[in-house]
Amino acid sequence: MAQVELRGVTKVYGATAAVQDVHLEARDGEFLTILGPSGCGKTTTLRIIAGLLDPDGGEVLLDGRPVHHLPAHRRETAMVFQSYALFPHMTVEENVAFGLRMRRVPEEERRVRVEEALRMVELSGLGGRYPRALSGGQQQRVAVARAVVTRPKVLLFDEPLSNLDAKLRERLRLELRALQQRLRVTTIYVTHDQAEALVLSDRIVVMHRGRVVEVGTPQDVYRRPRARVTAEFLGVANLIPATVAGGEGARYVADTAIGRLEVACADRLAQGDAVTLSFRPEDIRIGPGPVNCLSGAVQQAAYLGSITDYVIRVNDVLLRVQEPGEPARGVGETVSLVLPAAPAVIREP
Amino acid sequence: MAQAVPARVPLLDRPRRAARRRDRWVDLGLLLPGVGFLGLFLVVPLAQVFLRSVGLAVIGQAGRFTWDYYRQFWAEAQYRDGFFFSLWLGVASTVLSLGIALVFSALMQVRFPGRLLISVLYKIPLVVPSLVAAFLILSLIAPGGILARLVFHWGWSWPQLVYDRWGWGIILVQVWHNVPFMMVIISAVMAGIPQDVIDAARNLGAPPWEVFRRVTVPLSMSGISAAALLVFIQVFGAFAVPSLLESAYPLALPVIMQTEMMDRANWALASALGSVLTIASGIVLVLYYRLVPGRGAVVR
Repeated sequence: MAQVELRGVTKVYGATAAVQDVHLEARDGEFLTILGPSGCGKTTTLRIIAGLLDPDGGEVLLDGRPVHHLPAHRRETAMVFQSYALFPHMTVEENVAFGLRMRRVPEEERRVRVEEALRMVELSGLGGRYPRALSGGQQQRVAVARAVVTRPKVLLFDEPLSNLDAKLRERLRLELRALQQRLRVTTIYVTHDQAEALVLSDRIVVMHRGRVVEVGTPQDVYRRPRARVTAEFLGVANLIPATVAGGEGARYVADTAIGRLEVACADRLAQGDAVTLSFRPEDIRIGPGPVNCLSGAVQQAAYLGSITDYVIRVNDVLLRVQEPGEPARGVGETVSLVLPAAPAVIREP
Repeated sequence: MAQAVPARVPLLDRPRRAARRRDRWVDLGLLLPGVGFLGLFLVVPLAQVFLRSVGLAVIGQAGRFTWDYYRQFWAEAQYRDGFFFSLWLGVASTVLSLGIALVFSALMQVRFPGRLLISVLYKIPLVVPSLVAAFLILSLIAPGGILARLVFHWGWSWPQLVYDRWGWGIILVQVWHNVPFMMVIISAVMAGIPQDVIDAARNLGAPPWEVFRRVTVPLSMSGISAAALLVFIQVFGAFAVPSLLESAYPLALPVIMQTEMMDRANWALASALGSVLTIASGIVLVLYYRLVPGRGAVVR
């Protein structure tokens, strides 16, 4: 187990900064996910931690010790690649044993540890096969076994599930979480899949345009995002610009394009403050209510199996609203809506 | 009713059979350029050389089947030594060229300032004819060459690198000429190795030499083996460079062939020597196909 820390890490390609002044910390035994859209710098950050890229500025520390000057082969990290990056000319056993061979682990111990790792990922008996004879899911497991067998201080995952079908991805993400909890190894996981991030992580780092925009627990970043990009990227959010009209304590009134809303907010707001209110579709209720009750017309109703996803026009604003079960409202129907009184309040310039 | 069906079938089959016959002729017509070329320019000359080597189809002589010319090749030291000398030139040039080409191909995968310029410069020997290359090397390493005069100036003696028993001058020219050729092939294969695979090896604790030895080289085997095969066969049958730089004895087999053919008009013996060269190259080719399974399938 180890602590990983990045202090002001920057990586520039020509005139473009892929990663800019990134500060982050993964605590001992923590599962930290770096989440963001393609091109946000998350993989670059991971490769800098692994030593596969040299930062142009800043420091990488492992257990408080600077390691950014060390070559990749001398850092105690192990990475699982998006493409798995298995050695195609080696059998599964040879792939898994590669890291141990490089560390000059005696043959007998090597054999035992390879067997143990393959058993852990439920691939016992497939050690003699070549990667090309394995399915995508099995290859992914070999890549995980190859990484954990070296008992690294830090495990790094670069979108390891993105090449798999949805069902398998769902199963393997749970297995990965269980494996990490069993090994209690500090893990940094990169993904653009918000569901993966929410399921796997102790904490999530949201990156956008090479910068860290927010760090928090899955509940924090989903329920109480502090940045607009976080609210937009994690699931669906109705983002409504608002101006604080008054209020006291933790209760305020805000003027919006859909009318005046009551807003509960722990942060101190002043009259005239411009904020963005973020409402999750599943938090908006269709039906009458005492506060924040609005009227709108159903524009679309999409049945998604477990839920129905509505687009409802309120004044000129389109709101996404989700209800469990089959569609109960028809397109064109006028309905009452109740918005929660405690939305996420985003204060950004 | 039961007889009506077979009676109708031939009527329906007739146009189908005619179409099939027509297709067969079309297929043959399409194959003709390729097969015809191979037949005319490869099979016929090879067959003629072989027939001459066994005493048949010799111009101006009555044909009589015999293995005498092959016996003569094996019995007389000058021919046997010529064969082994050619073999030595082929193996030594291939091994040396391969060693150098491998290291430089791997270096060319690394990004460094001036890489583009070097990638253009190293290909220059490819466009220099081998005879010109021989003259260049000769002027450099011959007993009266630039280097010999330079070291003589300091009171040292220059080793015998041309007209020597082991053909080092020939090997040097072949290496100079073939390293870029090998590099073109091997670099292309190395460039096809996914960067993630190299990075995975580094991440698992492999220092650069181990990455090269355990990942880069095995994954480049398709290119390495193909380049080695082509260079070996080319040097093994080389005439021009050995005839310019070799010693009086032994002579490379193609040089002996030329002497037998042009100076002594011994076409039958020359054909037997040519057949030996061809068979030896064929054996190497078969070994290549047997020893390099898949030839690159692993990279995919």
